[in-house]
Parts: sequence; structure tokens; C-alpha cells
Amino acid sequence: MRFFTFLFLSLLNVDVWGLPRELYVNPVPRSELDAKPTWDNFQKVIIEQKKRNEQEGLAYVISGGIAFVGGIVGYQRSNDLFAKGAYALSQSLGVAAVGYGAHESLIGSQERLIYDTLNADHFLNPAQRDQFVKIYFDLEAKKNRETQRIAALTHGLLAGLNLYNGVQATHEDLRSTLYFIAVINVIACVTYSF
Amino acid sequence: MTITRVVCFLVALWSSFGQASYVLDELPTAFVPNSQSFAVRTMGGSCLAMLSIQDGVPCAASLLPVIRSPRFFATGQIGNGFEAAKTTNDILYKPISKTELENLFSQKNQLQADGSLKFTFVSSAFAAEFAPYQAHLNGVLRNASYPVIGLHALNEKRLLFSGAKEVWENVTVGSHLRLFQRRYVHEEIQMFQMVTNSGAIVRTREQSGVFFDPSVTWWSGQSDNDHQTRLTVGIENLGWVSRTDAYLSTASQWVAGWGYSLPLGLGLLEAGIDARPRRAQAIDARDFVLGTNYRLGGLQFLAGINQDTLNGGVSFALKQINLGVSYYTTRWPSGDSEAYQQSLRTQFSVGF
Repeated sequence: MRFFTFLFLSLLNVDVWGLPRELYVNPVPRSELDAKPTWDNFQKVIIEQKKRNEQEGLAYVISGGIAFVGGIVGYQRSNDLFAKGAYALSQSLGVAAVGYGAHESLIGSQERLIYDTLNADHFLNPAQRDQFVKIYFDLEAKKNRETQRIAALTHGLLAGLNLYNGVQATHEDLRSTLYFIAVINVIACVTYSF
Repeated sequence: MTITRVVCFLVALWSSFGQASYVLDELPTAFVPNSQSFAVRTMGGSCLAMLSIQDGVPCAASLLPVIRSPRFFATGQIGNGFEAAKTTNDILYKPISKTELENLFSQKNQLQADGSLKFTFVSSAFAAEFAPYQAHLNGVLRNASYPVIGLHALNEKRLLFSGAKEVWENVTVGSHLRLFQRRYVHEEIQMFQMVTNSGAIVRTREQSGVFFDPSVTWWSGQSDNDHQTRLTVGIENLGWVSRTDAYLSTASQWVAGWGYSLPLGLGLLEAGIDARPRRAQAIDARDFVLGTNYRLGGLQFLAGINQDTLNGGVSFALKQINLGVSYYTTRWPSGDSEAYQQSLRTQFSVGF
């Protein structure tokens, strides 16, 4: 048990992947917008995104409700400590999912807010909107490059830290795990560097 | 009194010859040496052409290109509670006495447990997984008047690397590279004979190996809002193993899977069939498994069935946390009789 506790605490070092929650969901196609950031292309993407957000939001509200009720029933019926913990967490996650779904459906991303703002301003002509969208995406691309650089540096440091902890570790399994995490961080560092 | 004991012992000894391999004819279906994720186990092992497996490396490496974004996560899984997992550990790593063995079966005549801890990285071209602990235990006590215990326990440490690439339009190829170290026990223990046998009750063995599992997947298309069919064929266990064991199949075998996804309004329904022949000579109904899942928002309902097992479960994912609870019942044929084992499995996974 001490091994797993230490392992978990060591893993807290890893963080900052900040990766999407869904593995297998096709994103809204943005190739046209990336190639040509105009108001028309931006509008197409946001309208499609809005539709998907509403659908996904509703799905999260329903599934969160089911997880919450299932968590209450499961908690009362279960005797196993691990299962009880999972059911208790399921209740909290269920409530959080309802909130997340409502947010997705009603509010959405920052891009949606920008779209709504520009769309509501009737004094802007199409050329000004195109110009705004172009500047916004140029700045976003620059920001993304900076973010990648910071991520590469962070993962490089984490790789070094986990390698050092691995060398110091006396427990064989812990040492192997820390080496493995170090390798993954090296891969992430290289990925973000290019 | 002494004569009675001697007669009883001789009768028991005689009956033991007639009941050789009474319990150990074959492993229960639930005893899976190769590591499987919670979703895969809950779908009964049907996974070769299934996309909705969010808690591990895809069973077929050729499915990797479907992964949209890289992810790193840790997963803990436990079947039938902490006590059962501790028992597995005790059997494998501590010398177990006859009394301790009797105590294990004093409350019930079936033991079933599993537990694992894994660290997984997945991306569209490359995946890696390190599992420092993956344990399974199946035990059965037969014939209370002349107790025979069948005991199977295993812990596998595994390092896995996977790579995949799209070689033609809608055709991907990939392979896993598995390095593993197993410590296991397969014993049939005649408790009556233990009176005269003061040696080690269970003998642990070790096995290590390096295997490749190449696979090819064909996709009917990549559309997000349309149904999709996939076909995967592959070969498992191509490589080297330090020792062979009748109960741990390490022979190379072909595998095939068919999968189908259908978007349904708010969710996604997926179904698949896998074929994994256990013997080279013939295929029977037990080599096929049917699995299905339905994903709605963060919730995923999963089910799987084959001739010996019935699985059902649900998992819930939000942001970087994934929880799962499943239940399965499995038939364990042994000799001319059979046993049924049930398990409640819980999983907790956190992404970093």
C-alpha cells in the first residue's frame, strides 16, 4: 500500500497534459478555416460547433443524471470499499457532468462568444469582420506556438525529475514506473518541440 | 479407530486416482493472462474492431490511427474487493500453509479475484503501456467429503509498445511489442493427501517472453455522422517465451474481428464479434465473443457474451476521470461438471 501511495504522489508531478476528454470524437472540420480565416469560414465552423455542443451538452446532462442516480443506488447496495468509493465519486461526477453539459449547450467555447459578439454588431461590414477574424486567428496561432514551447520545456523538466526519482527509488516496480513516466515525458517533450 | 482412519485414507487415495484432473481440466474463461482494459473485459474480450475503448491501448494496434489526441493516464482496477486481491498476492508471494488454504475456502467454495495497475500513453501513431501489477485468481473447492482444490493465480508485469500507420486508403497496419514477466500457480490440491505431505502446498512458476501482435484493419470510411464497418485480422503471440505451460497459451494464433458503429441521435452504438481460436485443429462456439456498447455523453453501457460468460457494466468519464463498474458471471467447465463464478469489478482511471 505504501508503494501505491508513493506512486500516486509521484505521479502528481506529471500533470499539465491538458488533453481533450474524448478520444474518439471527430472534431468539427476546420481545415478551410485554418487555410483561409475569413468570416464566412468562421461562421460555418461555429454554426456546426453550436449544433454539436447542444447535442453533446444534452447527452452529458442525461448521462450525468443517470450516473448520479446510479451512484446513489450503487453506494447503498455495495459492501466493497473500492466499489463504494467509485459510486460516491460517480454521484459527484454525475452532478458535475450535468453542469458541464449545461455549459456546453448554453455557453460553449470562447470562439462562440466572439462569433456572437461580431454577429450582434450590425455596424461592422464584411471586410472588417474578415479582418478581425484574420487577426484573431493569427494571434491564436502565435499563442499556440508559445504554449507548445512551454509544454515542451515542462515535459523536459518532468522527464528529468522522474528519471532522477527513478534512479533514487529502491522499490523495483516504482523505479520501472518512474522510468516509464520519464520516457513518456521525453516523447511529449519531443512532440511539442516540432 | 486407527484402522478406520487407514481405511478412509485408502478409500480417499483410490478415489483420487479416479478423479485425476478433476478440477484442472481447463482454465475458466475469466482467467485472462493477457491484460485487458475494463471496457474490453466488460465486452467479454470483443475488441479487435471496436473503437470506443477509452481506457487502454486498443487490442489491435492497427486501430491506433483512430485516436484523435495523445493522452496519458493511470488506471486501477479491482475485481471482488481488496481482500480478494490481497489473497491473490499472498498465494503468489508468500508460502501458504494448509490451514491458510483451508481458511480461504471455509466461507465459500469459489474464489475469484483480479486487480491491476497500469500507466498508459496513447496517440494516433504510437502507444506505450507499463503494468507493474496485473493479478488474477480463480479457485474452486470440490467434493466437501474429499476436498479437492483447483487453484490458478497469476501476476503479470508487462511493458507494451504499439505503432500503426495508414498504408492505403482506409487500410491501417500496426503491431504491439509485448515484454512480460509472469509469476503463476496452477495446482490441483488433494486436501486429504496433505496429511502426509508436509512439502510446499503450492508451487510458483515463472515465465517471461517477448511477443509481437501484428494486425491489419480495413475501414468502410471515416465519416463522423455515418455508420462504419471495420474488419481486423491479426496474429497474436509471435515471438519467444522462456517456458511453455499447458494452461497459459503462448502459441501463435490468428485472430479476427468485425465491428460496426452506428450514430443514434444523442449517442453512438457499437457492436462487434471477435474470433480467437483456442486450438489449432478446430474452431467451436467458445472461440467467438459478441460485444456491444452504447455511449451517451460521459456514460458508456457495455455488454459482452460468449458461450461461457455474460458481462455487463457501465463506465462514466468526465474530463480526465473515468469510473467503471461491471458484473460478470462465467462458467468454469471441469471434468463432467461445471462451476459458475461471479465477479464485481470496479475501475478508476485518471488522466494527466
